[in-house]
Amino acid sequence: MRPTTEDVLTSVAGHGIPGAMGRWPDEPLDASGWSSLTSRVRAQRLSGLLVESIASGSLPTTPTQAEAAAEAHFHAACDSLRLESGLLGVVETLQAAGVQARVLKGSAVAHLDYPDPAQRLFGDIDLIVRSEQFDDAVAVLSENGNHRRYPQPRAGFDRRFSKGTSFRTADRLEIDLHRTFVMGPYGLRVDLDEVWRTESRFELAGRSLSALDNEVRFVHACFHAALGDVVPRLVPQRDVVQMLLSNRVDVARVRSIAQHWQAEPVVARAVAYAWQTLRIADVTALSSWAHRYVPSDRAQRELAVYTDLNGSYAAKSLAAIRALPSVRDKAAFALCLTFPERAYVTGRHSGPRDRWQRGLRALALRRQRA
Amino acid sequence: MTTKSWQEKWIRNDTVLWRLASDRVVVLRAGGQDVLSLDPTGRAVWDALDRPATLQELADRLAARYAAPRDQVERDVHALLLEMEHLQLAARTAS
Repeated sequence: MRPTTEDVLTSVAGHGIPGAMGRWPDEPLDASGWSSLTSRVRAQRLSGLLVESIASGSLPTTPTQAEAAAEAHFHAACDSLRLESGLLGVVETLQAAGVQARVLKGSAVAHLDYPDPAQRLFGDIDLIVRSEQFDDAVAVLSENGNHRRYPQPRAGFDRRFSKGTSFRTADRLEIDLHRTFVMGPYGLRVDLDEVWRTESRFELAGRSLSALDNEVRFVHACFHAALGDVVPRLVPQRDVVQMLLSNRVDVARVRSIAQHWQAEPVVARAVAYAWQTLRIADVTALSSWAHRYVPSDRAQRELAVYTDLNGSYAAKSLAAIRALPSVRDKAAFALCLTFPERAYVTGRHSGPRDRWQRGLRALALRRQRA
Repeated sequence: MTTKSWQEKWIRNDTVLWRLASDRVVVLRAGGQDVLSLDPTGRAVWDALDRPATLQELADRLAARYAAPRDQVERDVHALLLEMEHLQLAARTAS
């Protein structure tokens, strides 16, 4: 049976992984199929793996198609370099202000986990800073001409409760400044002391940059794959498989971290989903565990906050309140979102009443499901 | 070319950002805006500059790889190295 565009796309995403059972066409795709594939490849940032699939002979193409794929990858590679140039500038700015930062996702994973960083493209600059330095980092980036895209509900909210915030640089690059991995309950349970305890380092333009250590980087890749989007994107799934099959990840430590952070449902979902999507035949201890893992009812409800098509900021907020350890924290979180500062409300909702109604609708929806 | 230029070794400038892009290499100086592209021949020289090499060594290697006249390859590589030096993509090294 002729593979669908989706089959070819996932085969591209898994190209080069030992044990990936790619489904490839016997002959070049027709114009419509090629157009559909390349548009999905662009959206999923897979042009590096597409040109490798073509070069290896796995994906047959016409000369024109091969040339177009190479040209598209050339531009994507240029974009990655511009982002890395921006990354170096941001890290330098933060360091000069005494703010420690670790590179997340994109550039760090490309250089540490892939044999050729051109295989792993990215679209923004992701950094994590310590909670206690978060406000300083925001101030420094703002003072250096970067535009903060969304204000926080009230002073101190992001430093205590949020995933982080985003900036746009003068060159229109996007910086995601993280404090933890995701918004909501799973983000609040990340042990940030463990995140900062050890590190990996990689070289970029002669500079040594800090990244998460191998196991924490893998767990973060699982968060990104399992909770980042309602339908998991292919690049984070590839990251999960790429890291796990590299044999550089200590699986026992991964299991320990996942248990400690109550993130086993996240790791299991990411690994099982990636193994299935990329059709990986090889079985590892962690993939075997992930396929057997059954999340509790509570874990399923928490996962649904991230994976449900109707999931909303309000639903994540409600779940976050439940996950906060102390009554004081719960009260502070609720106060910030119930009575936010004017700048936060402007542009998001038409006013406090609209905000209440949205929150109530989200609550009502969850109650109906319960 | 002087005796000195025969003995000099060349190496990539490791303070630039770069990526392989199919048969080309794209390079950007940190903080720069303009991405430079090396064509397949340029890429071959870039690949060969991953460790210090003299012009003679580079020419020998590339002439063998492309089955091209040695003198012609040497002239082309020398011109490219000077251009790469001007663009701060490659440098002469003492080692």
